[in-house]
Amino acid sequence: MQERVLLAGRAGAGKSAAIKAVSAIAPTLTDAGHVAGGAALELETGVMDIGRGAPLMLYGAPSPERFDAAWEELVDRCTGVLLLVDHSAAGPAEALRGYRKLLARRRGAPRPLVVGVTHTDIAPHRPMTIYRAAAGRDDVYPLPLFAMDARKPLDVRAGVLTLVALLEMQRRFGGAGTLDRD
Amino acid sequence: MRTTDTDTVAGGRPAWGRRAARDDDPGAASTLPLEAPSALDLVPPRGAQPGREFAPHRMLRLLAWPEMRYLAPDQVARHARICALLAVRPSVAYLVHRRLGLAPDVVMPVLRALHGRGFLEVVADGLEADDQPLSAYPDDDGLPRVAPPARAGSRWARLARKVRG
Repeated sequence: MQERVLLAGRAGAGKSAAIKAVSAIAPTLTDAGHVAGGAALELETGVMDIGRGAPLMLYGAPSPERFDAAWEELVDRCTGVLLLVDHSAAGPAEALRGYRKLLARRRGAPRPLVVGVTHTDIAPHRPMTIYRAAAGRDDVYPLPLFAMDARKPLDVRAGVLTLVALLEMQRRFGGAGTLDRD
Repeated sequence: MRTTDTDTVAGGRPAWGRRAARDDDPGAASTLPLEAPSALDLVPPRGAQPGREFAPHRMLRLLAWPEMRYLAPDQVARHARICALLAVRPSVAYLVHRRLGLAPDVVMPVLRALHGRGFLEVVADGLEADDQPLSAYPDDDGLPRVAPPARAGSRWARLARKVRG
């Protein structure tokens, strides 16, 4: 089964850099057709070899502020979500909380979520503990949240492989994941 | 047994607490501060008993995710699968390798390291209470060779004594 990972996050969070860092091909723009609301949508696309036969597809999602109507449909089309949160931007914990609410309001099957916190080098004074509350202590299992330099292939790869592992375990053993609770 | 940051997993690669060698990082050989092994700084979370050894028949559950990027690249997928399994489905320690299709001598050191740093907690397993250290269970196949001793006053112990006459 081919995994399709949606890279989500606000503008500047590092989605394009992350795709470029791990993609086996030069990232391309893929026509995603017309999504809900009638908007034509192009997604930045990359391909990643995870050593499991079928390559993993990476899609950079536009920020939901621009394509709110398309957001749910995009998530439905993918098997998991790698959310990038810009640590140096204003209100990063609120951004995480907002994305989790967006994901939680979906009616479809929950998607595994991994969070990569980017630009930590720009705001080193800001502790990672600000995400504790937004990470949700009442989740079925702890939210995988890692510091991540979106330019570094090993950092991005670690996040993607964690997501793939969660996908495998949820398919084999079930579990609601972390998306349907907030 | 308390694990230390000199622990290694199979193949002599660095395990938790020691930053893996990376070509793009000039500080590759430096040691990761142990007080910050988890991004959320949730270690040790409540319920964790870091350093306390667990027996292989105990059920383990993931409490927090370690920073995967500090592992050697060839270890990330394996560690991610172990953590994901214990997050989605808490498992008895000696069954983890079977569920993942990995060798027990690969999985057990990882479990020890994770548990030693407080990423895992031991949850109720429904078996007889037994605090025998892991070393009491040769793990060449991951299965305990020594039956957990029944508590002296338990129903099973009384039944066993009755059967033996």
